[in-house]
Amino acid sequence: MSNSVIIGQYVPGHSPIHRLDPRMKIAIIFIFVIVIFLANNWVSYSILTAFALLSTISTRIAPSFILKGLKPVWFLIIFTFILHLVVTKEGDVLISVLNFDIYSGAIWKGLEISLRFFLLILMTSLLTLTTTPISITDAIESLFHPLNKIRFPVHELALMMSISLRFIPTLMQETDKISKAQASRGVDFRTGPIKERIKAVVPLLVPLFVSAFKRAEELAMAMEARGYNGGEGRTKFRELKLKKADLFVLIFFILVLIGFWISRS
Amino acid sequence: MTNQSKVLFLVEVAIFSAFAILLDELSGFLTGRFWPQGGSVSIGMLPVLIMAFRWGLKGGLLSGLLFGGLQILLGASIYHPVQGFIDYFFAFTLVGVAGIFAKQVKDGITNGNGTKWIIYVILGTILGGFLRFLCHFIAGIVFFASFAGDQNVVIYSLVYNGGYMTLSTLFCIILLILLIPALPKKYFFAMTART
Repeated sequence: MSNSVIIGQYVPGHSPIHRLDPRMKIAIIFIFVIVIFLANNWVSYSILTAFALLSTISTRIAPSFILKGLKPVWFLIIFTFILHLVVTKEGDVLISVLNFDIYSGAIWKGLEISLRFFLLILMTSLLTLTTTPISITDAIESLFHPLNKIRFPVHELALMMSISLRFIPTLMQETDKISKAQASRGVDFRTGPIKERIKAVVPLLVPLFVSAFKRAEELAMAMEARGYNGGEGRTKFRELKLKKADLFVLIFFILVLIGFWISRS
Repeated sequence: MTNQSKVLFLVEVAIFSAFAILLDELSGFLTGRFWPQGGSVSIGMLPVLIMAFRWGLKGGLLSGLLFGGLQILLGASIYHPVQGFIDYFFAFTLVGVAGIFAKQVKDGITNGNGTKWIIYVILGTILGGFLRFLCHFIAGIVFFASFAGDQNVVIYSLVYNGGYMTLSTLFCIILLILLIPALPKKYFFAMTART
């Protein structure tokens, strides 16, 4: 069972993008995602596309692999394109098929929206492809640190996030073990009518829930035994430091943004 | 909350959020991955609801928030910044609103009042499920308005999101009713004095 389930999308590597500070990556992608919606002519779209492609190449992950990861959204991209061909009625009539007119404006609009869509998904998936979930969590904790001042529990949330991430594989193994144990007793929750499948899943869920409760109890006890008492004065195992390369990338991104802003019409 | 139960609260909510991710991944056995644009019939809400009924509103909201956040970290379907925010942070956090009935559920279980806790579990789950549906519904409109600009956006989003949400909520109710009596009772005893 666990073989067929892939949690997360991280691809290990040592590319410049992999080594970039996760905070920098999040900030750049966040700004990029907003800026996509401000592009309004082919020059500004080209600048963003070039930046996205450059980032993709710099990850040194095989493009075919990235495209395969985007498979579920291809359908959507094509769907939006076709929808625009049908709905938009601007510009000149280019072709008429069976009394149905396709306008030039529709093709441009369809391409624009599909491209916007593609760039958005490409850039956000670059983040999860090149950054481990745990470094994203560290980065978020660091970025939101100022919120501590208004008593928003940033540290606690980040800690919980790390615990969750740490326990997903453990729980997965456990599920695998229990489902095999129950299967050997004849429980079958993959075939048969839905009512039977739901009934069959209960003997799998009960031990899982009980064991999750027990694990939590044990972990809480272990943390208390080691004197955990909140974020105050706690030191870190993984520290984030901005490097020269990060600043270089930031300056490059700002230049791209300036170029983008000038090119908008 | 004493320091001891505070740590237990943090850890338990964290582990149950991980559990939610796991159940969400495994839910394919129910109807398969029929919904192409993200969202599917899933029992991922189950651990969130259990946390909501065990720790009250705070536990429910927090584990919902973590569940949504984890999905983003592990690669979620984000097509638009606003849609991503509503679909993951708001939607799953609001499942935890089921926790407003925590007290009644625990009272029912503690006193062995079968009908009482079942009624409030159903009410809570429907409320949480409905609020989550509302978020996906709005996010669906935002998404389609920004990419398609079609006029039937509202109906489309209603049918698309309503479909899997109705089934998911229904499955969660059935499983909760079967599951809660089978779990050790100590997890659902009224703990008002401790929290």
